[in-house]
Amino acid sequence: MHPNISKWWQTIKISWSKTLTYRVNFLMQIIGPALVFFFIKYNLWNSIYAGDESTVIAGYRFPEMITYHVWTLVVGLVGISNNSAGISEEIRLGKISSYLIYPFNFWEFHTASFLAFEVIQYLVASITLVILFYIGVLPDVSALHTVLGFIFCFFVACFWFSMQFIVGLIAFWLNETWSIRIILITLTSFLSGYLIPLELYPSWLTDILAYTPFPYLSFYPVKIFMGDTTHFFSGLAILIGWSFVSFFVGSLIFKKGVRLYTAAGM
Amino acid sequence: MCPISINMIETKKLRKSFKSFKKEPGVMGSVKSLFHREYITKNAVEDFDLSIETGEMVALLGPNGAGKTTLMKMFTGIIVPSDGEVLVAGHKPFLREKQFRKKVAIVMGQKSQLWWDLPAMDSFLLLQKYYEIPPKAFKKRLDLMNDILRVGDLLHVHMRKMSLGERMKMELIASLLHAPEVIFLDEPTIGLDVMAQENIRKFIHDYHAENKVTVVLTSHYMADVQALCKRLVLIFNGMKGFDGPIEKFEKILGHEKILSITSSEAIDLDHPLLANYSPTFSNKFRTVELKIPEDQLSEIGAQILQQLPIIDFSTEKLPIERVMKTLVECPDILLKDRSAP
Amino acid sequence: MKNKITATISHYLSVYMSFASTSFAKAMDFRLNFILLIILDICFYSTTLASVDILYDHVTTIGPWKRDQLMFFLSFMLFIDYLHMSLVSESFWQLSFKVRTGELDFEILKPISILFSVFFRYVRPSGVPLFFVTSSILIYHGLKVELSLFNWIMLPILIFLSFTLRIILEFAIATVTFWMVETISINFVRMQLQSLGRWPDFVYSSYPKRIFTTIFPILMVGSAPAHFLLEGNSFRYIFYLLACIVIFSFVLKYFWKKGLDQYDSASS
Repeated sequence: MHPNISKWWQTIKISWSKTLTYRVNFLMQIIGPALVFFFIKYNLWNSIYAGDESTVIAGYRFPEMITYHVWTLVVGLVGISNNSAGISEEIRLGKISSYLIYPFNFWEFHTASFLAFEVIQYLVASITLVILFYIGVLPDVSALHTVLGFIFCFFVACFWFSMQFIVGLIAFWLNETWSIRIILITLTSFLSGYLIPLELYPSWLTDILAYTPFPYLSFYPVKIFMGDTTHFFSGLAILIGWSFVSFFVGSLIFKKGVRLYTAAGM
Repeated sequence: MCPISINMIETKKLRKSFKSFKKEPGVMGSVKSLFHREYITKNAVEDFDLSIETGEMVALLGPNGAGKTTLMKMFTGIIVPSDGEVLVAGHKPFLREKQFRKKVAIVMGQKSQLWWDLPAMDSFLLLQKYYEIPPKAFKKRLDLMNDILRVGDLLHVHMRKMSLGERMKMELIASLLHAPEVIFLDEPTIGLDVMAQENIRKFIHDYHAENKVTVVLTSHYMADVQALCKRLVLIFNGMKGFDGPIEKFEKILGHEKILSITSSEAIDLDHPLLANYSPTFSNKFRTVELKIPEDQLSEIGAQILQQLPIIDFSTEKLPIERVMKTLVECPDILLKDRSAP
Repeated sequence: MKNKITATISHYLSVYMSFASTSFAKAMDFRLNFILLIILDICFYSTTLASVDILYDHVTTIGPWKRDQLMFFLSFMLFIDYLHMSLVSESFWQLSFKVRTGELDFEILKPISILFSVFFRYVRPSGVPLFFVTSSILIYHGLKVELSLFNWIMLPILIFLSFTLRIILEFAIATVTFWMVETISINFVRMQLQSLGRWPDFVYSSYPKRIFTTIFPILMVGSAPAHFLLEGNSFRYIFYLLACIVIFSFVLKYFWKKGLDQYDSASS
């Protein structure tokens, strides 16, 4: 194997081991989102529709609304999950010094961990889907759209990772970055259609959102899973574009941060 | 209340065991350990009997992982013993009574009880509230310790900006503010430079002399032990290996002194004067170490000085250091010692 | 006896003042963080309220409640969340850290209730400006549902009881930290239970509802006071709330002691 590839492979294997060491956390990672879905979302929408099959809210009947939320569950697992844990902590605790010496840099290490994490999340999402399908919460699934949706979600994950990477890097300047991360997550889950389908939002808000990347983080991927592929290619183009922008911003910030870090001699 | 004994610390058959699990390396090992885990129980402290009198200063020694810190944590009530009896200042520490907690203090060289992001004074004021120390008494004690340790303005500097030595001084003050009856010092001089070590050592010595408190100390620096303690307790793999005065400890390996001499020219390997005292040579045969029975030391020493062109002549400063080293390398010596009548 | 009680109270009060003042001193050192926390909470309040508001653009009732009633319930819950965030939430995160690193050692040594010094150690000063935000939201929605004078008087008492139940339940969950190093999942469970309680009890179908009003009565935190205030002052809700508080404080006490005995103080 090319030495560089084996470095990546080794890092990925180590992150898998790390994930599996904490088995309760791992179990939570698998069943947590599904439990939340069943306990909160299913009950809530059931109560909103009041058991009436004929009620239509913004074009959604009850089963469609549930299908929408099953897919947000999947998008949440593989697309906009917490896929970059520990970046700011490593900076804050000064562990970054070792990466300045290693022949495997900070970005490479975290990107490898991200890929390892994604593999696990895709497995978890597939298992969840199979279970939901068999208990009948997910009435009709198209294999093609599931594959397309999964592909789309990978690009969502890449963009989301580069955003989180930037937020993590702010730790060079700020001692705690979790608040920024939670702000980002709170806004994203509201503005991306993760909580409620965007069709329910007032039109002035959706008009504004059309100019932001937010709908591409939940709403459009869910639509693809549900069979509406109109935004597949344009969505991919937009996500790739945003990923490049945030990647360059990230590497710029990293350079500045490292300069500051080495200058301070921490 | 239980009958008040003159012993500050008293343990009988004290035991503490911890549980951990094994894991094979690699991803497959991780997957396996996800479903099945093999647990191992290890006794960190076993069958430990100890009694320490009020006002004593005792050193607790042993290699890393021998169980010193575990013992101290049981004495202070931080952890609960698995078995056996323990009584500190007339209390069972693991009940964590308020009155008990007011009587003890622990300083850990590797952990800090002070707030990293704030000046030490803020933490001290919080401690004053915790221990309900009247403002006057608080000021008096703080001034007193400030006089000895000379921390002065440092009280108002953020902890994170202090050197290790300065931080340790603050830790000591913090743990002594409430005038504890018994103090546990777990490696208080670890990582400090020679000057800082000596300062801390002197402070502990003076504080003990003045306040007649009971002190239990662990350290890897034998200089600390030599300077501070008369009695020494050795712990190996959770069990007691030795308990007695330092002088006796020094003699475990025999009643010999190590004499080191350096000559201006190479010494004859078979020099008749040296041959009987198991000489070990170094420094191109110009330096030699000899083991000489105590009662012959002055006589032999004088002869050597006369017969050889000596430029340096010394007996070892810290005999316990050598004893410690030998014992850590082969603890069997102690076992033999114990089985002997 | 009476003297002893007042002495204890003043002891705890003075320690708490010291906790608060050190928290403030620290917050002033990290001002940007302070501002970010305010922004974070405002984001959270507005998106939560907006979500429900948007839902009511499409339906007239959820369960028996109209828009104003559910919005009042939500602003009540957000006020409890606000108290939780400002007064205890920081300490939860610190507890797992302290158990993992063994820093809890020093907490155990202090001659004061360990539960108190662990869970009330950190105050978030961002709570001071946010008080005006959250109380305005609550008062605004209280006016919309036309609370009676009696209900306005009861409101602070109910807030106190709800907050008490909420923290007792969460302390009990956090106690698991002593047995399990994997604190991410403990905090995950805690947060999900919070969001579970952010919807009224009637939203849930029979089993979850039964579990979360009896075995682990997290739904009572918001639903009991809301039913009392909005549905004709039935005192059984208050009795129920009180009973939960009493029972679960015993549960907490029991497990807390067990947990502390379990603590093995990570060695440095």
